[in-house]
Amino acid sequence: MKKESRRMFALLAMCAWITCTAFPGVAQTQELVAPAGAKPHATLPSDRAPIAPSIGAPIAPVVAAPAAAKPHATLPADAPLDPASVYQLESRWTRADGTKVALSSLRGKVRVLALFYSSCEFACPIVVGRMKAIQEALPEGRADAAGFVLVSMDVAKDDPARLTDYARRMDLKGDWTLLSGNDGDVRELAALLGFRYRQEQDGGFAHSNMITVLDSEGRVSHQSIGLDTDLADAIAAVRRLLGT
Amino acid sequence: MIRSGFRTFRSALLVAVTIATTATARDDSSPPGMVRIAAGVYEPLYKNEGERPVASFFLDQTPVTNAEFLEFVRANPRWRRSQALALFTDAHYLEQWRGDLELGDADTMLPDGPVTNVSWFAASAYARWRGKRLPTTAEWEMAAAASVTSARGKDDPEHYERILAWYAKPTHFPLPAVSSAPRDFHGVRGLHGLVWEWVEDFNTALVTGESRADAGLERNLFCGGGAAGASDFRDYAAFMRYAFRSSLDAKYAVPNLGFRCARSLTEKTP
Repeated sequence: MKKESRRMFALLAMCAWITCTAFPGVAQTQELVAPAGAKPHATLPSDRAPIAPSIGAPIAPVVAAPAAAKPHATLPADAPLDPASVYQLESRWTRADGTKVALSSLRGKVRVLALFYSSCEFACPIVVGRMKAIQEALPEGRADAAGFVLVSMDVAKDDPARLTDYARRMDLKGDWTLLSGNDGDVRELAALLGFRYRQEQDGGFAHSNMITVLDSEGRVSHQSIGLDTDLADAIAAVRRLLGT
Repeated sequence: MIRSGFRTFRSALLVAVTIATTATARDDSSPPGMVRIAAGVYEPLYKNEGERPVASFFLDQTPVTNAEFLEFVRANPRWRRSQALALFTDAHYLEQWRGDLELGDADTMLPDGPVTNVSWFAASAYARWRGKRLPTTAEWEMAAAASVTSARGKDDPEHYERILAWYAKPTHFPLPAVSSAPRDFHGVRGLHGLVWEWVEDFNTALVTGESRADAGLERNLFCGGGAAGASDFRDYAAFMRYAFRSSLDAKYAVPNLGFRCARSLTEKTP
């Protein structure tokens, strides 16, 4: 397709997509694991349109070089980061205990990560509940084999004290890391994960409901989108990474 | 008679000059190549998002050009085409260039044409390197609401028609020089009619389907009379921008998507 016509294609795609959005609410599960050695962009159309259908159609992978499916040994912490690692982001975050960390501090363990905000009364508790369900599905005796990470999108309100309170309120037991950061860094992480959010006038947020499974190097291995999708794939992804 | 006519003309001129100097907010303190946009109100496409005040800010007069972006990749090897991480760009990143540090042919791109095929990550990195940032949706849309003659383009009936005429036209390559775009009321060029532009918070657009069921957004977006809740039905172009932004992924490189930078008044000049 010539460049000149790409734009027209984009407009057509947009029209088609607008039509699709008339039937929203399709929860989807996104499987990002590809065979090791798969070419980056292998799953994108060869002449991709600028318009990515986001509803009711398959979603293009967030990460170009998908993580290898097989579990791998943990690398030493000073080894260079994998180019596809989310931990390539250089942002600094504050944990609920007040300590400042880089995302790369999460390296070395399979992580299950979601964005949330502590005053969210509807979707976030469900997302956290789904993460707990994944935690409960971990193999017996290996409850700490995977870590769980909640990153707040409410940069104005969610300070360490509120995050500590949230962990208590939600009865989070085991390896949970709650992080707050600045607006630009949250937006950047969200952009990388394909997570969309917007603050509403009442101070709340409209946002994606997404749980991301990261391998021990921080590569996106699986994303579960929606509040009522089957968690079996997410659990399977975690167990595969744990080699169980 | 002549004298009074002249006086009328002179006072009219005076009024015009006064309006021009106060309302365009052009300012000696503006950094080179930037224009100060006066504080105002952003009227989002959807009323349920509510109008929100936008503080005065500086905006680049023109989109970033290929030549300017070349300076950036020269100084930042990690953003060269061969070295940029697949995490932050897709395979089309800077594909109009011949090489890492070599611009493309004249039938593909012009050095002083807008740089395109840059991801949001690359555009953000460029802006940071310049001591600037990408404009927010609110800032971009507020600035882009201006027509050639008015800060409120909606008062100018031909304004929407001109914009839609551009949207209806396929993009021709090479994209023209950024200086060829007409100056609008603020002294800014090419917000319409040149390329689509990244905004800092592009990923606020359109949260549907997967969003909180009680957010009520999907009811207000696109389905049925898609414009339900829209603040201005005539502004079809704004619907298109909204839809376009909501379809973007931060690493996409698109042949007619570029960017320009902004800076808050409080940010220090680097």
